[in-house]
Amino acid sequence: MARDSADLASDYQFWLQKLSVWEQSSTKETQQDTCLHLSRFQEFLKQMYEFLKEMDSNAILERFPTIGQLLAKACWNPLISAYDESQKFIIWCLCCLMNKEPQTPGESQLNSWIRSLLSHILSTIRFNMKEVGLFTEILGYEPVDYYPSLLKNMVLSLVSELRESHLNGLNTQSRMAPERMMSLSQVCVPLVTLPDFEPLVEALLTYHGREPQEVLSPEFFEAVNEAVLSKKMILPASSVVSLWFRHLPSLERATLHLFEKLFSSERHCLREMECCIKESLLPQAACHPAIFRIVDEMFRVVLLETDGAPEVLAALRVFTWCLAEALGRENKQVKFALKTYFPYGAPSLTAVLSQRPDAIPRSHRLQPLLHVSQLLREAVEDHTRGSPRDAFESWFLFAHFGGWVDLAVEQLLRMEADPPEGLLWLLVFYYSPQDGSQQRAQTMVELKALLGRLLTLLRGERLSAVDVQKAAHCPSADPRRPVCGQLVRRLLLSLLLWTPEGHSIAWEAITHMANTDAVTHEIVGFLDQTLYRSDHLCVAASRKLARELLQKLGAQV
Amino acid sequence: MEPLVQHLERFSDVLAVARGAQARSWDAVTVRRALQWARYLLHVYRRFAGRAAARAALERRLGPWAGPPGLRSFAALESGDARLALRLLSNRALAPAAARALPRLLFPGPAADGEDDAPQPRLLLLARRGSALRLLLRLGGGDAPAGALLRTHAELLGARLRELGGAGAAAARGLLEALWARGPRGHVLGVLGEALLLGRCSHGGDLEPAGAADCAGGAEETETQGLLLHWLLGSPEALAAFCRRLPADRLASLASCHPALSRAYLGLLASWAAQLRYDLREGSWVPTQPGDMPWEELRLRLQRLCQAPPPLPEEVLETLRGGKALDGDFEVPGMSVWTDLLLALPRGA
Repeated sequence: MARDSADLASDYQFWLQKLSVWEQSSTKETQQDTCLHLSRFQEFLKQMYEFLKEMDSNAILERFPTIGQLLAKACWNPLISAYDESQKFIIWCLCCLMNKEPQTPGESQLNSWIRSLLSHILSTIRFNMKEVGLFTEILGYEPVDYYPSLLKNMVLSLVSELRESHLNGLNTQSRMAPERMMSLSQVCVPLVTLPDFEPLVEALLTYHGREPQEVLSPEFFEAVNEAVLSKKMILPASSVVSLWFRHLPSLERATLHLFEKLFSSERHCLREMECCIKESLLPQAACHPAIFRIVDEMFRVVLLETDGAPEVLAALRVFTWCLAEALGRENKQVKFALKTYFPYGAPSLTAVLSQRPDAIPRSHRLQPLLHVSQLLREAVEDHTRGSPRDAFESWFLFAHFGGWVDLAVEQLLRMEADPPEGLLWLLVFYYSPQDGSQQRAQTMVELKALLGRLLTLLRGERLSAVDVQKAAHCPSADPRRPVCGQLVRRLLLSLLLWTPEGHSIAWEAITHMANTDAVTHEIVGFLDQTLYRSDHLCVAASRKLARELLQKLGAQV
Repeated sequence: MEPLVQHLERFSDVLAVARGAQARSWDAVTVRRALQWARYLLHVYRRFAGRAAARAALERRLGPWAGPPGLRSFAALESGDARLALRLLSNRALAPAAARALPRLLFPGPAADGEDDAPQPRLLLLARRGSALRLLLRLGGGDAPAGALLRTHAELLGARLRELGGAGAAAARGLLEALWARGPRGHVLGVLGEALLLGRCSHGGDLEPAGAADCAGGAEETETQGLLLHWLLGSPEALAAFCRRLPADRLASLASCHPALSRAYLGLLASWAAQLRYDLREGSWVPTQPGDMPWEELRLRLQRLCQAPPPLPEEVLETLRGGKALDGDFEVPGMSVWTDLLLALPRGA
């Protein structure tokens, strides 16, 4: 998109002024200001290049008479020239400025000046000590030879200094002064993506000083976080966790970044979600309750804002599962109590929910399910304790451990006799948490009736898609609220997948059900979830059918 | 091998011209060709980088060639484009047409962004590293931290000696002579001290040793350190200055890693001790000449040696006891410098 040249001109004035201010001094404040503006200035340089590349030298000078000044000031500011790709854009702009056919001495002079500026950019070190230059001259070394080596050794020297400072905690003499650490972290801001600096960045992140407040600059944390999120830098997980611990906005930014990936317009299957989540290192970090609480809070907000969107619920489930896996891998001596992760749930409830449902043998699943149902019911219907808000808290807690819902559906469909109230309550609560107890009771009755009809059909002669559809439709005149529709569809689909009779009419029934995009997506999500779950809950034939159906549906969407 | 060596020799001629007055005969085509040549050498470097035998063969072949020190190594193949670029950009004599074409040839623009063998990304990395160095130097108040600088120079010196060593020890000695003659002596001595410790254990110093934790260095380091020691031990003036000017701690570390050096060091300390005389009025040992090593420094150095791992402490004590015996085995202070030194060293040393 071509920028309006008037905009560019006013930006130009702004930046020229800024550069002039920055070159006056190199105090902590000036450095901080420069660091704050680095990426915007690079954006400006990029736009300038796009604008200038079509023009010839004289036209450029007419338009921007002081451009030489601007570029020179940018070159001489090491924070700017060290940043990311800024030196590239500065050099490209300088090349645009070269006059291809100089007519006057002035134009030749300009060319000469540009060449010397380019030369300086490439070999900018002026050592104070003469001996340095002399030594390298005798040995016949040039900047390209000793820059990498000198840089490596200076970085090593700083890392050693940091490490010693860390070890000599109480000895104030050998500790690195906070001002020096602040300066050091500011210097690193433009350079986090330079591989030579990685040891220093790591050392800074894992350095724990004695001062109560943070000594490193916030721009440093932001820069590292951005580099890690955009994959311009790879850090070990422990350093990343350290970063998030020390700088809350980075943690939030990382979580948002994950959410953007998970909940973008394109659908992700659960396996892809798991991949994204694990890659983000957040489950590992969330082994620390403090970090988990923040991420959890962000999940909660998104759930509320999207009214319980299925992909958010799915992501929450997967995240919790990844967290449980990460916790299992940790060999820490100190394990935090569950209560610290879920302060909003009753400890007994949290303890029961966090058991792995698929680890329970099939024949013994009813009892724990009923127990879960009872505990939840107590938490939700206990009016002396709380407000309607508590119902949400309990539901939110329950939503983390969605495996129980799968179990409940499975148990319901296997029952020959009357379904236990506890199971009905659990399912109705999960799918419509906001209902009052009366409404819920009503729904439970209808659900029971539906189950009865379905199971009768199953025992009957031949199952047809139309019969199933009819049985699912409620005789009551009330229009079905969308959430209960989800529950009904879930039961139907489970029935179709898990009973041999259902297999033959599955596709037909689904085509009848999938009359809107939203419903189709919901069905796709259900099938995906079935495939994602462990094999304990689903036999091979069902998985095969689910895969076929998913393929067919996927072709449609 | 032959064609490659010829290419390298030809290219180094090109580099020499690029720096000098003959560049006024160049045009854009010449520049482009020179850059392509550099790119060819880079490809060769990459092809052979992992093959130690080929590298060694090349360096042996290059040994006798009297080209400039910067280009006699395998590693030099990698950065031909950067050397060319720097020479051409700063050469005032370069023909105007070539000078005008040069920036675009070096920095063509977005098209060359992805090519990792083009000069552009490599020069940009150089520029970025240069800025990084500037920032770090500024942090340190304008000077590189002494340890880092010494370490870098020691590594560079080691690399040079390795390249020259292939041609025989004479060339290596020549380089060291040149450094001693021209370079600021204090700095050169510091670098030598650092170079002799590379890859070995060290007590103190602000950089951790780059190599093994025990006292055996890698094969390469051992070789260059051998060259260094040989020269040092054969140059009395340099050796005396070395042992005089380097800090006591550093010399103790060096002595514990290099037995030949420890003998020479101890010998020098003994000879300096012998030059002290006892001043009755002051009640202490004083130097006879203004430039001699004072008592306190002597004592300190001997003490540091005694704190080094065996067999150094025993050697020190043996030397001192030997001197004491020769002097007549006096126990009273003020009669023999050796007695007093032994008395001054801490118990159990």
